[in-house]
Parts: sequence; structure tokens; C-alpha cells
Amino acid sequence: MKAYHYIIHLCLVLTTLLYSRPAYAGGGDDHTHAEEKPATSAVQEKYFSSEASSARYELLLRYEPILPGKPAHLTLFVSDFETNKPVNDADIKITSQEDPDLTFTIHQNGNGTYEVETTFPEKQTYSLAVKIEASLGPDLLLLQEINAGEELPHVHEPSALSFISKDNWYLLAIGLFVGLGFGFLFRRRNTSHGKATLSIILVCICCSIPFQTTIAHGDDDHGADASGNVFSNTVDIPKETQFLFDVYTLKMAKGNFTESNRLFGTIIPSSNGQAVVTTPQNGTIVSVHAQVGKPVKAGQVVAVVEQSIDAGTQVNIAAERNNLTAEYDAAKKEMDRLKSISDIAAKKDIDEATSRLQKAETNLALFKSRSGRTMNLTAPISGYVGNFNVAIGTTVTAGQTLFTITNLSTLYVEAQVFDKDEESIRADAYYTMECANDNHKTSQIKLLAPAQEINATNQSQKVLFQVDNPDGDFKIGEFVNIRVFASTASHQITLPNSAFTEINGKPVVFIKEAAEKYTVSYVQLGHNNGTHTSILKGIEEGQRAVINGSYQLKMIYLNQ
Amino acid sequence: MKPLFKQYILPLIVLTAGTIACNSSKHEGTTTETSAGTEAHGGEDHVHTYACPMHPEMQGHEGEKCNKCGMPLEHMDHVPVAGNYMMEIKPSSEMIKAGVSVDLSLTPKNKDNMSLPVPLDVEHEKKIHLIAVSEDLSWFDHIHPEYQSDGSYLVKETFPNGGKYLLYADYKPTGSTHQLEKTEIQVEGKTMVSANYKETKASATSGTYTVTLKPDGGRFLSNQEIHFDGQFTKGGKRFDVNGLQSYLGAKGHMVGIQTSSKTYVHLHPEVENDILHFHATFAEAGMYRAWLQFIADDQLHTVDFTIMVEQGEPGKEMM
Repeated sequence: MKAYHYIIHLCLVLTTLLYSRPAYAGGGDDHTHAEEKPATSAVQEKYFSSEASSARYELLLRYEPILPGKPAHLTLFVSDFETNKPVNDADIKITSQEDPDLTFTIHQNGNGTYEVETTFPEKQTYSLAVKIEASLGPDLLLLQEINAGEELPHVHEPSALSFISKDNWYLLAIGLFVGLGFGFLFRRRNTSHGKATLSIILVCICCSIPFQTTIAHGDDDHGADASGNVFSNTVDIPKETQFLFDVYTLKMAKGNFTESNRLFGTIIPSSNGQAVVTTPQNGTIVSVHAQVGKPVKAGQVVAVVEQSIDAGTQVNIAAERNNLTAEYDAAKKEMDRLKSISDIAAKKDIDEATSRLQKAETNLALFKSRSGRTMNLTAPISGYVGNFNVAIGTTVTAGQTLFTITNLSTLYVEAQVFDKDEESIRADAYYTMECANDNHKTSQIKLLAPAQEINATNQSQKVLFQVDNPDGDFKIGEFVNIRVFASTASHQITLPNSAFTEINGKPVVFIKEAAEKYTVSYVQLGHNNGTHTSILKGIEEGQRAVINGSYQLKMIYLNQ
Repeated sequence: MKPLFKQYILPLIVLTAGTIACNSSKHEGTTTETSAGTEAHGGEDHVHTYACPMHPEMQGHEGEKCNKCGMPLEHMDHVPVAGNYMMEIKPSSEMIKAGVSVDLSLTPKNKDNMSLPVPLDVEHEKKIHLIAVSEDLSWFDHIHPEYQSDGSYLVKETFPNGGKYLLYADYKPTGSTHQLEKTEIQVEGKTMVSANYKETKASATSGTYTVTLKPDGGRFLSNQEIHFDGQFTKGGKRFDVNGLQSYLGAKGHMVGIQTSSKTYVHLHPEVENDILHFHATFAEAGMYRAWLQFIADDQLHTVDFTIMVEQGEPGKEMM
């Protein structure tokens, strides 16, 4: 191979290598100015920023280079320091410490975002005292290092050659010349171009492998590791992005944490929560006043049944009615006659006639009350009418169940308790339950009866709980998860379960370090009581952990 | 064999060597960026400053602790400058009566321009720590004025008896150094017999908790950094201070005041194993009254001590 073949060979390989660009990690220091921020995104190099915080508020002032004597437009982000929620409708007054006569015009132009207009007269560094009155109360903060007249630092664009330092160029040049020297030593004229090309490709592949590994950032399997080698644990999130994704934080503090056990249960009707309506005698439905799924009140007529009577019985009834009517008419006529001659009639006769008339009236009324052929069927309890299969004209028999009425306002939950959870079932424990298929359906429940029997299939104990269900959220037969909270609580650092996400299969929490800076903290989790999880390691009291928007932060972090 | 070496292995060796050199150098650069954070930001020659958040004049290196209060030094980009500040303290009524609540209004002022607002930094979760003690140091209170719309900081206080009281306002204007304002106020009412502390008291109890102070070497010495422990027992059994709740961002707060000169010391311990460990430098020898506050079982406890600080040798640290 000739010398120029080697030169071409090596140049091609170098070109290939130089286009394999490595990833860059941002620094993790607490800086506030653009020139000190890691070059993780072009956006950050287009503005300066200054931030201040108190126990109530967090302020972030963002501005492009300020020209002295020219109107300056600055953006002020105001948020709750502890929760990171945007603060709206704030009354803000700004005073320059260096030039108290400087005037500022402030108006809100977005969620937690305020536009500040002023004219800085001099090329100097200003400090702005911001007096704010909003929902969290009054406060006074100082925004420092507002540099009027300062230009943005020259941003070093990471070119294709940027990863190679001056020293590396020397090394490469030395390597190049050494390679050329060896090449001349072993030179032979009859070398095919095909082999040379093949060698170029081989060398390109071999040499570019280390770079391909380095730029694998963004893949879940190559995220930041705790030891902080190539990748940073820090992610910069612009304030407006935080507001857009509702990134909320919580200041860590030890609080009461109650451990809990989980049981599985099924909802069943309560002992007086279900009733049936039966017909007492044979008959025919003449009217139905209930509808499936509709509520009825106790005592409300749900159907009317007409009694079925044969012909012989009807004749006897008619004969008895005639006899009683005749007796009544006779007694009344006798009574009327005696009244017309009351001045001469004997008192004894009048008393006998009165008694006879009263007896006849009573017998006739009793007969009429017994001889009615229709009967009202009423709801024994208030509740909802279940599915029924009767209609007008349906013939029913005595004792037949016509309607089922269920009252869902109080339900029972039958839970299966195994040996390991048996000790936790105590009268002073606190119980909640949630629907197995819809964790938004939750309710507090109370222990009704300890285990009375054992499930022969799996040897679990059946424990009965009662739940108030005024809105009918829970239905009979529904599977539920029951949480048994211990009666004693311990002081631990806990976070809502929404705070946790996973990177590299390990649980992490995002910690807010500054207004636009978050870090990933790998945590060791303790007990999960269904809503909160205790944290054994990885977070200290006083830190601000992200409890909402963790997934969005993870995506931004992995793709930065 | 020679063509093989020449055409494949030789270029491979040369370029792999070059590549390794590049990679090796690049990794070194990344490590430097993570540890120092200087080269990563455009190669500026930026020197990091570490100082005590409570005593910014106490500066040092990363990982070191403040000689005055024992707090870890924190990274500060902007070295605070000593300002010319004062704290104006006004009670709501000219005559303060014992047993009657009074509003204390505190307004920080910049002596160079009294009309300028003076924003304060949050230190240990509060902008102002106001320590109120009776002149005989038998009564102590630690309260926190809150910012008001008129620019003042307001707090209510009830002084138990008549007599003279001392107020120590502990605050730090943003961008400046830590400030301490000492003010005397007179309270009308029945005065009590003044306490005279001649005996030391290294152990104190609040509720079921007992705290015992044990200095390294057995003595408290002035003019040098000393270390002492705070050992806790609960119900007579040793108590692990990791079980204490955080109070104002620390496991405990200790204030010490010299009985004659009324020199003020504010200390924050760190946890070592299961005890509180204090670093302190007492400027003066003499008898000190000290109060330690901590939260346990959701309740704020205050225990008081009387310690004798003996004259120490300047610049010498007790081992």
C-alpha cells in the first residue's frame, strides 16, 4: 500500500470518529446565572436569571441582555415555595436597592407569570427588593445580581471536534505519524484497494464502539447512575414547563405514618338491607306500582292483588251478606218506630232495640271488611326494587316472592383474613376499603364481627365489616380491598405514592434544588399503606420532593 | 502474514491507541466537571466559597464545619458583605405590663439609606429568631416575628413578671452577613426575686426526656473550639436522638447567654450515633445559662442548663 493510501485511510477513520459525538452532562452546582449553567439546552443560554425564595414564595426573574437606557422586559415567575404551585393575582412592588427612584411596571400575563418593564439607566449590577402580597401573605425578597449591560456569554457550540482537547490533538497527531512510520516500514507495492477499503471499514467500526456506548444516553438502561459517572443526576426544567405539567412539591418532614395490611373482601347485603314482597293468597295482579331499579319507601304499595274465589264460596258470601243486611234493616226499622213513640215506649224496649241495631251494624261492617277481594302489597323496607317478573294479569299463588327490595345505604363486607393478618384485626384499628377495580371508590368501614367461621376451602377466617353507602357507590357482590391501619403511628418520612417513579428499575424521587433545577434521588422504600410510602433512605427532612408530575420530569430527564 | 499486519492490525493499533487517548481524556474531563463544576461551565476560573449559613464570616472548604456553631459550611457563590444594618424594635404600647400580651414590631433598617426595604434571608426556616430572656436569665422564650404589609415583622409576647428583659434579634439581610441586635425593655408589674446562678446544672428534664451535657475533656473552655455531647434519656432509658423531629431545620437549637456580660451564643448540634454533638467557641469565660429546644412526640421541649466556661487557651482545640 502506498503512503497516500495510508493517509486517506487514516483521514477517513478520523472523520468517522469525529462525527461520533459524545453526550454532555450538566453540572450540579447551585448557580443562578446563565454563564454558570450547564450547557444542556440552547434555551438556557438565551437569558439570564436570578432567583430568591422565602418560606412562602419562590421568585425567578428571567431576562435577556439589558441595554442601559433602553426599556427592558423581564419575566417574573411567582410560585409557592413549598408546593411549587403558581401564585396568581399577586400585588407586587419592586424597589431597586441601587436606584430607589427606578420605576417598574408589573402586570400578570400568565399562570404565575408576571411581566416587568423598566429602564435601567446605568451599566451596573442591580438588586431588586420585591414586595409581594398574595394568597400566602405578605413577603419581601431580594433578587440579586441583575447585570444591566452584560452580554450573554459566548456559547461554545459543541462542534464535531469539540470532544477532543488540545492535548488529544497532540496524541492523535503523534499516533498518525507513528502509524505512517510503521506503514512505510512495511510498505509493499502490490496492495489491493479492496483490502484497504475493508480495513478502513473494520477500523471505523472498532474505533467508534466506545463512542456509541457513550452517546447511549436516553435509553432507560443507561440513565444516570448513583455514582454519577458520565451522566448527571440533575435536570433543568423551565418554570413555564413546571407550571404546564403541574409539577408540585412537598417539603419533607417526619410525620405520623400508620402501617397497614391489605385484606380482600366482597360486598354483601346487610342483615336488614334486603327484603322480599310475597303474596299471602292466590290471586291476580291487578296493578304494579314499582319499577326495576327505582327506589321505594317502606310502606309504599308496590302491587295490588285481586283474590281468586270459586262459585260456591261466592254464593255463601252473598247469602251471608243478605242475612246481615236484613238484620240491620229490621233493627233499624224497630229503632225508628220506638223513637217515634218514645214518650210512651218502655225504656227497656228502647235499650234492647238500640243494642240490636249496634250489633247488626258491627256484623255488617265486619263482613264488608272481610269480603274485599283486592289486597295491597307494600314494601317492607326502603330501598331499590330488584328485577321482577310480574305484570298486570299475572296469576300468583300464596307465598310466591314477587319483588326483592335492596337497601344499599348500609352494606356488609365479608373479608378473608389469613393467619398473618389475624393480629391486626382489632377493635381499635382503623379500616378503609376501596373498590378493587376503581381505586377512586373508597370508604371508611367499621369492624362488625370477628371471625365466626372458617372458609373450608382456604382456611381463611370470615370477618364482617359494615360500610355506610349513602350514595350507593358500592354494589352487592363487588370485590374490594380493605386496608387495616394499626392503632399506633410512627414518625417517618413519607411521600404520596404519586411521588415515586422508576429509573433503571430503581425507585427514585425528584428533589427540587432551585427554581428550575431538579435532581434525581434514588430512595429505599419502606412500608406502603396504599396512599403513602415511608422512605428509609435517600431523602432528608427539609428537602422538597416532587409529588405531582414525576413522570413528566422523568421523561424530560431521560431525554435531555 | 505481513500484509495482514500492515493492512489491518497496524492501522487498528494506531487508531485504537488514539481513540483510547481521546476517551481517557474525555472521561477525566467529565469527572472534573462533576466534582468541581468549574470546567463544565465554559472553562471559567470560578472559585467556590464555603461558609457557615449562620456565620458567613466563618469560611473554609467543603466538608468543614463552623467553629462558632458547628454547622456544616455551605457552598456560596456570592460572598456576603458586611452591611450597616440595625433592627428597630418597638412594642405596641409604651408601657408593657407583666402578664399582658404585647405586640413587638421589628423593622430591619439599612443605616446607609433608612428608607430602603431590607429583605432578609430565611435561616432555619425563619427570617428572624427573637430570643427573649429576663435579665436574671431565669426566663427564656424563642419566638419568630412574621413579615407584615407595612414592612415590619410582628410577634406577640407575654412577659411573666415585671423587670428588665433582654431581646436578641438574630437575622441576616440578603447578601449581607449575619446580624445580632440586642435590646433591653422594661416591663411593669410585680418583680420576682432575682435568680443567682452559682451552681452548674448539666442535666435537665422536660416531660419524660432528660438531657445531659458532657463536654469533651470534662470542661467547657473559652477562646477555643470545644465539643460537647447532649445525651438523651426517655423514661430513664437511653434515647436515640434520631427519633427527634426536626425543629426549624435541625434536631435541636441551643442558645447560651453569659450571666454577667450577657454575651450571646447560638448553637446547632449535629447527630453523632445516637447523641447530639455540639461544636462551640465561647468568646468569654464565666457562668452561662443555656437553653436547648427540641421537638419530640409532636411537642416542643425546652430544657435549661447552667454551665461554667473556664478560661481556655486561645487557638487550642480540645481533643
